[in-house]
Amino acid sequence: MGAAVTAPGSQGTGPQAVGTGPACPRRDDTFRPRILRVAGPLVEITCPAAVAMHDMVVLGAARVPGEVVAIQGDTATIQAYEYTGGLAPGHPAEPEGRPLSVRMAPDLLGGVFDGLLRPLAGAGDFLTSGSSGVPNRRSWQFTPRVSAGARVAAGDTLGEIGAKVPLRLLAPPGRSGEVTRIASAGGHSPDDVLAVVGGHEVRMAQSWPVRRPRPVAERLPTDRPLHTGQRAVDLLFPVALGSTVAVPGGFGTGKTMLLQQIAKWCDADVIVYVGCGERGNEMADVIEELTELSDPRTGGLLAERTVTIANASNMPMMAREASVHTGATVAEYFRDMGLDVVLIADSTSRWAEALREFSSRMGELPAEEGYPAGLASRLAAFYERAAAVRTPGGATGSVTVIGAVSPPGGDRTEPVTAHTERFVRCLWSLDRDLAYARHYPAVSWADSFSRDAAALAASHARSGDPEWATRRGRVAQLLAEADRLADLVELVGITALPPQERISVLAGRLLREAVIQQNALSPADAYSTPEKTAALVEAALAVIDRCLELVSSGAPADAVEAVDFTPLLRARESAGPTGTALVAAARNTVLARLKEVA
Amino acid sequence: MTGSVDALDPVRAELLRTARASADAVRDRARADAAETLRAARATAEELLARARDLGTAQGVADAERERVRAVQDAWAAELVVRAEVYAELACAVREGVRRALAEGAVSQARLAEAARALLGAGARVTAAGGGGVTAEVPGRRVDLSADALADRALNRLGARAETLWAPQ
Amino acid sequence: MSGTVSVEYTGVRELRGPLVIVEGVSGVGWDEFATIVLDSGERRHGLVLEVNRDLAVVQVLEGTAGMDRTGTGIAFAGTPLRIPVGSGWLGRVCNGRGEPADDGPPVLGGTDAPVAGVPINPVRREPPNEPVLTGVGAVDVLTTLVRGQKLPVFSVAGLPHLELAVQIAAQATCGGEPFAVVFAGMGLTHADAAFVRDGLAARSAARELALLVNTADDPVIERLLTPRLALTVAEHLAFTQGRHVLVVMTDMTAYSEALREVSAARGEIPARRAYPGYLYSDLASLYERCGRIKGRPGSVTVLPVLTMPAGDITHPVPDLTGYITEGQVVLSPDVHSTGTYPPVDPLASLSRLMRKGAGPGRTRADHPAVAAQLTAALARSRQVRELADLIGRPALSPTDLRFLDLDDAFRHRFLTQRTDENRSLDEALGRAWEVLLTLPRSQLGMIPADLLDAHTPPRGEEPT
Repeated sequence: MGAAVTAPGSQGTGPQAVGTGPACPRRDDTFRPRILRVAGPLVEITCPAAVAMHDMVVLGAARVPGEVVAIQGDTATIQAYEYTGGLAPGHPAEPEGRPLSVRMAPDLLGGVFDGLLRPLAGAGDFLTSGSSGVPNRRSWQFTPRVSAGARVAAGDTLGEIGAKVPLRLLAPPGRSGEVTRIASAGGHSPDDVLAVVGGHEVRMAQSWPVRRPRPVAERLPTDRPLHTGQRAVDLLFPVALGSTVAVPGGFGTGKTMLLQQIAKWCDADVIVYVGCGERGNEMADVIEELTELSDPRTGGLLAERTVTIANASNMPMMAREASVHTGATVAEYFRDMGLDVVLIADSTSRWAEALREFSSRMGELPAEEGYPAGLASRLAAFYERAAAVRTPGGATGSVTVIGAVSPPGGDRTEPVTAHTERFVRCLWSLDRDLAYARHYPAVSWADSFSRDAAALAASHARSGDPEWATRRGRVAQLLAEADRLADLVELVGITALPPQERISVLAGRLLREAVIQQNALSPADAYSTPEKTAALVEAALAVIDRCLELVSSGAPADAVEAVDFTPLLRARESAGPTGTALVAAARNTVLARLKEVA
Repeated sequence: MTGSVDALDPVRAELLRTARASADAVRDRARADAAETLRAARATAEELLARARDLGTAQGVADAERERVRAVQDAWAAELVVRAEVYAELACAVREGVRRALAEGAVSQARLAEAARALLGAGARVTAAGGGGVTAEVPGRRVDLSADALADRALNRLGARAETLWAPQ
Repeated sequence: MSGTVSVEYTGVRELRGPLVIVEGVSGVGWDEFATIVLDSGERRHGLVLEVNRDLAVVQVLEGTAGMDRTGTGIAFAGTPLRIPVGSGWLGRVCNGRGEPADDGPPVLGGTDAPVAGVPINPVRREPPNEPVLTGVGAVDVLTTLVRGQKLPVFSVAGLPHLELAVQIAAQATCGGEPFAVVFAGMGLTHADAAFVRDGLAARSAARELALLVNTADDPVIERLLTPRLALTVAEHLAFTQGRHVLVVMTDMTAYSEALREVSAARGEIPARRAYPGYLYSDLASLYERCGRIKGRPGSVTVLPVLTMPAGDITHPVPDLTGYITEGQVVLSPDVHSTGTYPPVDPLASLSRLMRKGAGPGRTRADHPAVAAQLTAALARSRQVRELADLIGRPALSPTDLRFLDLDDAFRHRFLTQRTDENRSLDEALGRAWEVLLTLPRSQLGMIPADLLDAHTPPRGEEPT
């Protein structure tokens, strides 16, 4: 694009011949930066010496925020985060002298924010430039845990904050020394100075640059399970706290639905949900549901453990680029308090498109499908922000990253999907055929993987479930066998198969319908405890084993297939989210019916 | 870069008053035509409907209904044509009025030339425009302060207020 | 557009494709609206794509044909393109730039609004939960359109999608609440444009419709403007004046091709199938303008129609549309070949918001169960038909044969509808019941027993 309007020599010397106004600043005008060029979100300004890469710049009278992405000679290139309509060469640009940072405080919990973490509540019905709401400055209960005179290191706990989620006030990164002042117990606003450490004032609210990961003492191995409450995932492709997951799926495969279910029901302490370039109505729906559903663990509302970052697809595209980093920074802020945080980004493909859009405007040499050559490293850097860590204060916390991927045309060889698969530890691949058959969640058992499974098997064994790995292996093997036979059945019909194989086909159906499928709309089935999942799998396997025994001892396969398995298939609904006894009862009923066949 | 020629504002107001008076005449004449169209069409529809009822045929009722819908459409089409005529009349009246006002010296040529130079710089070449007003240019830029251009801008600025010309009073 | 005097810039440096590059400008902002005056006195319109020091790149909506370097003047409005909005649009037929095509005066409005639109704050959105009834049985019963939803029609060249779009635009209502339709045609042939005008004439004369038509021989670039004008008009009718507004936009494939053509002229790096990388965001900037807003009475519902090139649903236009919209109504050449109108494929079609917009208090209490059961039964019918093709009809079980009957009944009794037939929801649901009852009661497990009792004929009369 740059080629269209390159104006060699026009800068500075300008077309004085035709008499210009302030559009073309002279070279000695560098102390007052001015806009030189505007092409959508790409803005070039005259660059004072003090401007650094990634510094924030405020553009024009509308005060459009932007970030320095390139410096060349005496011009700087800015990526603007809002609509740049009306910005003209000659308008002022104000470097802020600091990188893009966000204000974080306990009031993030339950709030909805844009990609730069500005609150959306109170921002008006329509989002015009700069129309952001004001932060919620309610007061929070503070209880000091150190006394004046104590010596603390960065990351140490100074006190506790009374929210639904146990929050702490920490000595900020890089600050240590004597606590010369500490607030007394009571209600305080996020901007009150609660402590002074080594001469530095500490508040609940603090600012952090979004592109810089917050420091950790050490990275820990990822071996504690995240219970998502979704059986297809917990059983077959489990994810560890601090691990990474990609969820690729074409449109209509239920990607957003699955991620929303995890946001609602997984057992993390804090959820950061980044809606990145997705549907506005869907965001509205999530927000409404979270404020209505209660958290089965704390009894509070699910909204009170959730931070929502909403950057709908028609909101400014470049804020989409920032939003995933903003989300990661928020997640790390809570992680440092010793919490397990899940960061959900829906969809990373829209984020990658924002990268592509800007790189194209910068005139960078494109790699595959127009994406910048740096796409892979940018993706890797984002997923690297996931970790289980020991914080500088010695606590254990984690950030688990779950990123949706939207492959164009369902093509998994496209760059974003192909690169992402390399960087993540788990892949939950959503299958169009399963979704078309209304099998939800449509997680494909053939195309998904979990590299956390071995470590989690050991963890389950330690916590009293040594059979976990065996069950998982058995289910995976039965499903694969049923898939292999399905093709054959289509050709020759079920009756042409030997009895053992016919039972394998039956086993596949029982596992799919009784265990793997899950009804997100049913309160009884939307979420499954580890105990209920285990009970359902055990029940299904017991029934399948009995069927196999029957045909090997000569019972006709027809007779076995004709048995009414309904109680088993309905157990996931009838047992409610936790009831394992009812699952066992359903199993016994079916086993009794099978006994009649023999 | 934009600038306004405030001196013309009172002229504009006066023009609209006279324009409205002439538009009223056009509108009344055209309205009468349209009303007659609608009346005739409705009568035809009524007649069809009556005949259909007599014959008791569903087809006849459907025909009458179609006729009635068509009558409404024809009337609306005629109404639009009237409005367009009224608007064109208004545009003409405004143009004539601005020409006359400039000819009568409501705003002097010198004042317009001054306005042009304020926009383009002192070196601008100013030319008298046919029909009144001026145009001015420097290399790469020009300004049109001719009578017709001023009139068209006045009309645009009027916006929805022009609708009062045909809205029910 | 402005009452103030603007300077015209005459230093045209370059003309290329739809672009004109003018030098010596000052104070011109990005995305400003421009008026271009040709030597002949003809006026054209444009948008600023880029400003670089004293250069401005302007995209000319009417194209650059006939423009030269010496006789062209360009004036800038000082703001992005704004158009008058208000009820003055109702009853009007305009071209793709919003100029009258019905012998009427220019459309005037008491207020104006930027055509680019302003995003709705996600926290101020009210989740959609009430239906728009289209009078087309297949849509109302199986893929209920919900106020504030975006539901596209996926079609293939040669299918009657335009007929369906016009029928929906002519018939749709919102249960007696104030309602209007804004119809945007992009790249229509003259015959199609005439068909649309005729089909919607009654609604237009009733002052419930604004029609904007860009024809196939109109400038390509104008096609980028047409849906934005339509949505801007619709938003004001809805969110300021409190109407429920249905926006029909056809054909989005023609729109996307225009976007690709302009992108190529600008020398941008292409992504999939040479469409620009921002196709998703561009389409979203249109489709996402639908919705409802807390505390405001109206709604904007968007029904885009697109043709899938070579019937390929993985083509970028249907694919990206599918990622943005809330379901799809798919038209099928197979159904069309049986002579059925509308040729809706009930299994590939889906309205994701239907479970919120249909049911007791919204449509009818039995509606969700009937729709779910009908879809499930049709899925089974399709399997049975495939099986019949493979092993022959005589080998089918009696139950399987009933499912084949259901499939026939569905097409003949439920799906088929005349293009001028406005079918009430009650009648459509009645027909759905009739189709379902070709099955034995034991196969209707998704319908609660009490509903079945109310609709099943007494024993002995059950069809055999």
